[in-house]
This record gives sequence, structure tokens and C-alpha cells, in this order.
Amino acid sequence: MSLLRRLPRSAQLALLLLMLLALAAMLVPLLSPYACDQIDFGGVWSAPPGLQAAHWLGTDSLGRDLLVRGFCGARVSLLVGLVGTLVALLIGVSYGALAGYFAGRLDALMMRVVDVLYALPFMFLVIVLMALFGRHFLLLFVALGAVLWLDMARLVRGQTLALREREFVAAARLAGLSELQILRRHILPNLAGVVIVYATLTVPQVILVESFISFLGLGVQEPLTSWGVLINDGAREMQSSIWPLLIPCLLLLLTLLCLNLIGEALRAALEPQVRR
Amino acid sequence: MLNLVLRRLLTGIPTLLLLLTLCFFLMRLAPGGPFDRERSLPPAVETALRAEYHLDESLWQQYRRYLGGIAQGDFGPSFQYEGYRVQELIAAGLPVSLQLGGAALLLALLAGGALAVLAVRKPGGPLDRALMSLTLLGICLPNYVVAPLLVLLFALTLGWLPAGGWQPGQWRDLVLPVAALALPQIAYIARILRSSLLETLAAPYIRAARARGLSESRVLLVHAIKPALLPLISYLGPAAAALLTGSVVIEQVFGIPGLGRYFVQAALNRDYTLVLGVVTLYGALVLLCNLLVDLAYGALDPRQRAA
Repeated sequence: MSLLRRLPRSAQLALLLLMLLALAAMLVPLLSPYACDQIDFGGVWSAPPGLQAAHWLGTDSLGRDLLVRGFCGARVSLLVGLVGTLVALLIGVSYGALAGYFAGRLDALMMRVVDVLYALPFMFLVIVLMALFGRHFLLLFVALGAVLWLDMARLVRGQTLALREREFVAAARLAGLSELQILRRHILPNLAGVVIVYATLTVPQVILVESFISFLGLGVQEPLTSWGVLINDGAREMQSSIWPLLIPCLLLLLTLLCLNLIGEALRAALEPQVRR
Repeated sequence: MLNLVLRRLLTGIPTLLLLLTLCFFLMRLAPGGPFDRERSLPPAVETALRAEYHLDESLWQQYRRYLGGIAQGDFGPSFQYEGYRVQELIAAGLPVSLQLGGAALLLALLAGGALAVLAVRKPGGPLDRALMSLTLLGICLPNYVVAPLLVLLFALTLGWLPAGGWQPGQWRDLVLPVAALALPQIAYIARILRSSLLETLAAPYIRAARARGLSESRVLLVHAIKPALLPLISYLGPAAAALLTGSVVIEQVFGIPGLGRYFVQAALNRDYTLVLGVVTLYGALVLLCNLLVDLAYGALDPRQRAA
């Protein structure tokens, strides 16, 4: 809580907005009389916006409620953002901490692997993967995690390399703790700051990548929808109506903006050396 | 320096080979094949087609045949575009993509650099704060959002520029795709350069330069810019990769006959050789960009040369 109070006003506001957005993503599709993919034949192209209208923000060309669809997309996009980050976090932290803590030859080998993987154009592999194996939800997470854990691993490894030389690690070793115990009780908690900051900044990246893949028509599939799918649909219809494009774009922009603001603020609060 | 180039080329080859192998076997593991159609082909025709493209051989044989072909500069026949070799298709699409990406990179560097220099004149001042908010917005607007919005505004509403298409020598066709591709990069570059400039400007030698009475622009553009460029340069390797992926979307939105547009379609149609060719090419481009980044690093910072 004290951390929350240390954040600048803009970041606090961003956090509030983000929570409202997540709440809306949960509640709007539940409370609305329309389902995500429900077609209202009477409401096709009803003009937005208006609170008296049956559809507050109008509908798309198939007569689906835009407000509800925007938040249905939010559900998937936010979920993918969180789970994808978690996957990247899990792989990246354990890999980086192991490499950094045991250092030496193991570290050199493990980082060599990361270097090689870095040089691969992963987005293309992801596109190939999604195009070939169909649009599996699970596959999407695996692909996203596989792309984004590399940065995390490098970061964590660097931090761990510095931490392992510190006195408290030597003290723990003298106290007879095993290597794994030291890693778990003394190294990992000290990594928390860096990891939290980086994770906050990874969420928007995952959301971006997911919507990029969905925009290409390779990601989430009907009846599920995400912001990438909606933006793609909206872009196709924009000559008839701009709302199907604008609404998901605005939601995406707002979310990414909030997440980036929070991430930057956390970085300033938790990593004093970069504070300016 | 020659040493670095040689070493990079030598490690680059196994990296590319790894990429190629991974991609090759991944694609073959996937269900479906290049000759799946809505109406199935007569068995005799399909057998003949499979034999023609050597799909009847074992995977290992096909893999060896493919690598053997590459060693001789032949990336095999395309499955989708009958009668074309993959290298012919790439030779047709690559110049278009390079033109698009190169123009976008140039624009991003110039505009991003200018914004950063403007922002650091008064750090924390109104202009700096406005520019940083603007670039934060830019980071949050990926190019697949920017592209349709630009089309909507400049092509459909105002009618100033064409909404898509590509004719050689038509600069008007280039404006919107390049802008859409460059905008997010401008934001990134401006933010990176701003923060590294601020860091450099705090160094003692800058105070010394100021104390000698040099003008502020001379201090900024002659003394501070060189070390401040280093973080930007290490960003440019990944940025090149981002521009390449970005062009997949941009080429689709604007109907530009570059490599990116082939790529997604080829993967969906199981055009094995074309996908492999394009992925390998992208991999090589990314490796090349990383090498150029390291060379530029050495050129700017003599301390890096030994490594």
C-alpha cells in the first residue's frame, strides 16, 4: 500500500482506470441483454451513440452490439495478456536465475542458447505456427510465452549475477543452506522488484502481439473475439461505419496506455538507480 | 573488425540452419498439405503431383534435397505459384519491402531524433512533457491500428492520398504505408534517445564544454549526441526486425506486393518452400542488422572495439 501511495497521481489514475476496465469486461457482457455474438436483425447499423437507442454504441454490419463485443474482446485480450506474461515470467525467471546463480560454464552455455534464440525472427515462427496448427487457444499462449521470456531471462540473470556476490548470500551459505534454498529464499525475493516492473511492461507487449496475430486472422477464432479480431473486422467495414474500428482501437489504446504508465511509475519507484 | 565480421558470419550460418530446420519439420508436422483443395484431386493426379514435388520421399530425404538445393542457391519450386522458383518470387517482392522498410526507418530516425533533441532542450518543461505524452501514445498505437486510421482519415475522408495499391515511382502510394510503419518507431526512438541524451548531458565533460562557452546546440549536436547514440543503435537491431514484421500487416492493409503479403498466405496454403525461403531471408536480414549494429557500436565507442 505504501508503494501505491508513492506512485505519481497519473499512475494511480491509470491503475483505477484499468481496474474499471477489467470490471467492465467482466460485467458488461453479463448484464447486457445482448450476448457477444448475438445478432439483432432489427439493429443492423443503428447509428451510435445514444443512450436511448437499443444499442448504446450501435452495432456492426451483422447487427452485433458493439459495446458488448468490445468488452468481450477485452476479456480475451486481458486474459491473454495476463496468462502470456505469466508463462514468460515463469520460464524467464527460472532460466535466468539458474544461469545467473550457478554462473560459470552453465551460465555461458545457457546464455549462448538465449543469444541464438534472440537472432531468430520469432514473430515469423509464431505466424507459421498459428497458420499451420490452426487457432488453438493454448498454442497461442505457448507461442507468446516462447517469444517473450528471452528478455526476462537476460534481465533476471544479470540481477542474479550481482546478487550472488552479496554478503547475505555468503552468510546463508555459511549457515549451511543448500543452493536451492538460497536461490528460493534469498535470491528470488530480491529479484521481485525488477520482475514486477518488467512483468507490468510485458503485459501490454503480450496484448499487442496477440492482437497482431488476431489481426492477421490467425489468432482467436469465433465465437471468441479479441481486440485484434475486432480491429480487423472494423477496418474492413470502415467505409460504411467508423465505430466498429474506433471502439476496439480506443479500448486497446486505453489499456496499453494505463499499463505503460503503471510500469514506468513502478520502475521509477522500485529501481532508484534509473530515477530521474 | 574483420574478425568480428568473420565470427558473426560463421555463427550466423548455424543459427540460420537451426531456424530452417525448426521451420521445416514444424511445417511437416502440421496437418494438411499443399494439394488440399475443396474438391479432392483424382488419386492419379495427386500421386503425380506429389512425385513431381518429391513429397513422396521420406522427410529426411526431402530435407537433404532442400538443403542441397540451397547450397546451390535454389530454394525450390513454389507450390502455390506454379512454374515459379521461390527465389524468383523473393526477387520480385524483396525490393518493394526493402523500399517500404528503408523509407520507414529513415523517417523514424529523422523524426524521432528531432523530437528527442527538442525534448531535451528543457527537460521537464511543457514541450518535453507534451512530447513524451505524445510518444507514449505512439508506443500504444501499433501499426495495424495506425494503418486503418490513416486510411480512414487521409484516403476515405479527406481523399488526399490513395487508400492502397502500389505503382513503381508513385510517391503518393508510399506516403501512408511508410507513415503507418514509422509512427510507432518514431515514438520508441524519440524516447530512447531522449533518456540517453539526458544521461549524457549530466556528464562532467558536457559541463566542461558549456564552461568553455560553446553554444547549447553545439554542445548537444556535437558533443553529447555521439555517446547518446549508443543505446539507440542497440535498439535498431530489434527495430529492424519490428519493421519487417510490421510490413507483413502494412502490406496486407495497403495491398502492397511485397514479401510480407506472400508470407501469411503462403503459410495458410502450406506453400512449404515459399514460407521457408521467406523465413530464412528474414532471419538473415535480422542477423545482418545485428552485425551492422555491432559494427556501428565499435565505430562510435572505441572501448567496444577489442571485444
